[in-house]
Amino acid sequence: MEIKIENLTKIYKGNVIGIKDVSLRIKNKVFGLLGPNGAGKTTLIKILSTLIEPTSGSIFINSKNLKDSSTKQYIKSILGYLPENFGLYPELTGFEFLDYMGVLYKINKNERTKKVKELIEITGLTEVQKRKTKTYSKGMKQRLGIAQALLNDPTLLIVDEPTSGLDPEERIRFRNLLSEISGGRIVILSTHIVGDVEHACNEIAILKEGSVLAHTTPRKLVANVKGKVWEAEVSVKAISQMKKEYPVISTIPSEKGYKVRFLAEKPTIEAEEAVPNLEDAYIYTLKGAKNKYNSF
Amino acid sequence: MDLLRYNIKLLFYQWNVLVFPLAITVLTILVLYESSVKSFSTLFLFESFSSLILGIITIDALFLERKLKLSEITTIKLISPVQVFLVRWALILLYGVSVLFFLAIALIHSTDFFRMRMFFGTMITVLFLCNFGFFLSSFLDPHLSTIGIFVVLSMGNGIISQLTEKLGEDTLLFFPSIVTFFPEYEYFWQNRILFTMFSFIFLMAGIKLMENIEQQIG
Repeated sequence: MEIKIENLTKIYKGNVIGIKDVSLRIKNKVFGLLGPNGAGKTTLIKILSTLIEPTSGSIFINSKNLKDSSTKQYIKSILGYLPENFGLYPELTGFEFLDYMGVLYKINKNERTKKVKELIEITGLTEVQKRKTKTYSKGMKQRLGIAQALLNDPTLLIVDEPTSGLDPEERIRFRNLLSEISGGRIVILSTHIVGDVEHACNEIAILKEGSVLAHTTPRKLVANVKGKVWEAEVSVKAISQMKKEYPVISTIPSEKGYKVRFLAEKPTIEAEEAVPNLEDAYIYTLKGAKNKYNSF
Repeated sequence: MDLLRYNIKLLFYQWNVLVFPLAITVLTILVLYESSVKSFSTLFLFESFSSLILGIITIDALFLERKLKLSEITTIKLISPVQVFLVRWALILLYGVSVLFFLAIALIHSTDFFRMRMFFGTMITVLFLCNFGFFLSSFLDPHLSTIGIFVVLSMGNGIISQLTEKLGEDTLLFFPSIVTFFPEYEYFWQNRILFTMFSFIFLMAGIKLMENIEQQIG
């Protein structure tokens, strides 16, 4: 399966730019869409999910143009989608909710019951399946959300900010779940949390203000920032000046004042080169990169 | 069948959909029992208020997914949201008709024929005005529908009050007769013309309403 996005632009009412001239090619992988809030991730996802129409540009899914109504119906049959903010029918139980979603997918009763039971087990909801969803925790709701997205055995799974608002344990649990179910399908994971992408994605695109800043693998992105991440100990007085001069990634209180991790080609202060990670590379791309970076 | 079963269940939990029509029915019977309620204007006001409440809770139930932030999930499923909407609408309509039937039986046993005709005539007039208000306001913004309906109903009520005061008892029959065909009424043919005109606006309003529904469902 392959998704080809060509020069996609979405402009909302009032001339607000959602995305601008986005071109991407996504193949069978866990694909991360990384970017700050308002970068255009959700807009791109909604266009892919046929929820909104682009202003211009095209999307081809297995060479079929998404503009065609027959392709839209085809997409619905192969798509699983978990939006960022979603609710549940509060008075239905977890089992009933999934069963009703199965009805909406036109799955016959026997197959539906089997599939629902299977997904309840995979998502670890067996013990709470007979409880009304209004009693579910945020983590349980997210897992139920991913279960409904998997009901039709989708070959394209899109999840929008699935771990935001989850506690660390639930976040790790959800990330692992995503990795387990990713086999044989394209999973598009939209997030602003670098850790999610680092642990789950083979390929990423970084978006900012509606444009793609980078499209590469996490490893290449990190390699690109090698020699540009530094650590230095600075006094409390010097910290504000430093923030003006360099993109600061983190500040940790230390004996001398602060241990600061920052980005620089060649720092003018005394600093030690640090081993870069994906977060450094992400910040570097957002703040430092002057040119678009595409390794594909 | 499962689609029907789940939608009955979902509507059942929307307690206001079940309770309000019944409450309004009981109130209606009480209002009609009360001999002092003779003016068309009072009836109109009462029914306008009832229609607004019923309209709001019906819209609430029909667009349940929107309220629960579930529409993005249900829209991309294979059964179209319009199909679900129609099933739910049919269920609400069925319930509404059942309540209305109960009301009609209660009225037959409790009041005279003139009042009954006046009541249902008023009801249809109110429904028409609601629809017309929706139709007008939808040109501005779908979210203004309720305000639009309220404005049209208030204006309608004002005009009717004035007419009743100026023209007297006859006016009580004029508006209901537009839609309930009083053959003995002296403005019979004029009513036919008005009815045709109203039907045309009804039709246009219906088309606009469907467009709005499709837009709201996404």
